[in-house]
Amino acid sequence: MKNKAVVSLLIIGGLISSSIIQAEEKKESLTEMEVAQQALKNMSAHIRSLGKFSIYADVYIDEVLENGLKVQLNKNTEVFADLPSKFKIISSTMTRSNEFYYNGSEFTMYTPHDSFYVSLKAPETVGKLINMAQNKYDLDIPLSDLFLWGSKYDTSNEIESALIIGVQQVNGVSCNQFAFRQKDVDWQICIQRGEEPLPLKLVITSKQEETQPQYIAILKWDTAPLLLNQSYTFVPKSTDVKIKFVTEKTDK
Amino acid sequence: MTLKTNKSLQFFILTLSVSMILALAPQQADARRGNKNKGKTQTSVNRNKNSNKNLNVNSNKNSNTNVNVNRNSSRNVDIDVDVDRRGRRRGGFATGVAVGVATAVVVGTIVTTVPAGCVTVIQNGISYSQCGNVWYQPQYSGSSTTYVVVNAP
Repeated sequence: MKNKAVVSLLIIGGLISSSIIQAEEKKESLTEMEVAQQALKNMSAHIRSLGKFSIYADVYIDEVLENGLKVQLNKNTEVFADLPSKFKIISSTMTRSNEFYYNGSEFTMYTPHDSFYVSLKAPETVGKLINMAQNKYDLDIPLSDLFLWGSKYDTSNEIESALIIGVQQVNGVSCNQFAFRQKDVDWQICIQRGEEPLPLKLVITSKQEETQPQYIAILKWDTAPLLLNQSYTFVPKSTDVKIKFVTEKTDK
Repeated sequence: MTLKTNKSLQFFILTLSVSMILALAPQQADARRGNKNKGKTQTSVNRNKNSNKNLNVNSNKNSNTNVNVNRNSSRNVDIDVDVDRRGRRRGGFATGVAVGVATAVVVGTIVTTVPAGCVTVIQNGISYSQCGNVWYQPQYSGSSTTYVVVNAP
């Protein structure tokens, strides 16, 4: 219990970059939930302040087999973002990959293993695009939270409770870990301590599924990438074939 | 000596079998993934209300019985979409292998892979996989490629 108090103080102290006295005062008045939400807000604002960034993420995602056995599969996700309206994202497993291109007016998903691609007219911001992909095409853009936190599509107001877990290390970098509960998901985030409050680890537990499968992303950030000659427009090869999305019908 | 040789042979066969099984394993995992409902394991926390795909949860116990019969033989986009919706509720897509050996493949059936030996044919700018007299049209279901059985173009 004492340890927990010390850890909380450490985190609160890191969050509020003013005098120690002020931090002490704040500690008295802030609940764990408020501290966690403030940390999330700071992180979101920091991500939104980045014009360009690139990320290399190790992703572990549970799949539940027909017999209920939960297995964990690996993915690598690379993000090259030039906000507000450009990105290229590559999400790969051993045998297949999905490439996502967005240049502010056109969105393409390409699957090089079968040489298919789909191109759509895209809205002018990443947030709108992610929303359209989710709702209209049942398509999750990898690591979409990184584009939505701090935007008008941020749904942090749905957080029902939050806990301060403590200080952890991810890839040798110390971070403050918080846990949040929402209706459908429990999730955890570890936010880098110090001047750059970046999410280093994200864990999402799907609660509505009986076996509660998890999604885990370990993120390595480059907040000053060169992105020289980075193309956000897909150019198909002569052997690539354009196909369509199954139009999503929402359940009535 | 004979016993020893047999043992090495046995070991060799075992090693070979394990290697072959492991080489196939990733595809199995991917194929199984095709049988899952999309969005089961949520990959983001910021989700718009009307994208609630968790309506499909707990339906994964259904095996891949893709009996989405659509007797209407006229091919149009609406049919494909309708069948897909039902397919997803039923808990997933069948694999092409099983469908390929069936005597009659129903138009509108959705599979994650086409049988071996299919030929890619492009007609009127649309790509098809022709497998004997069965025609598959590739499409994206979320981030996965699936194939819907269509009438011959």
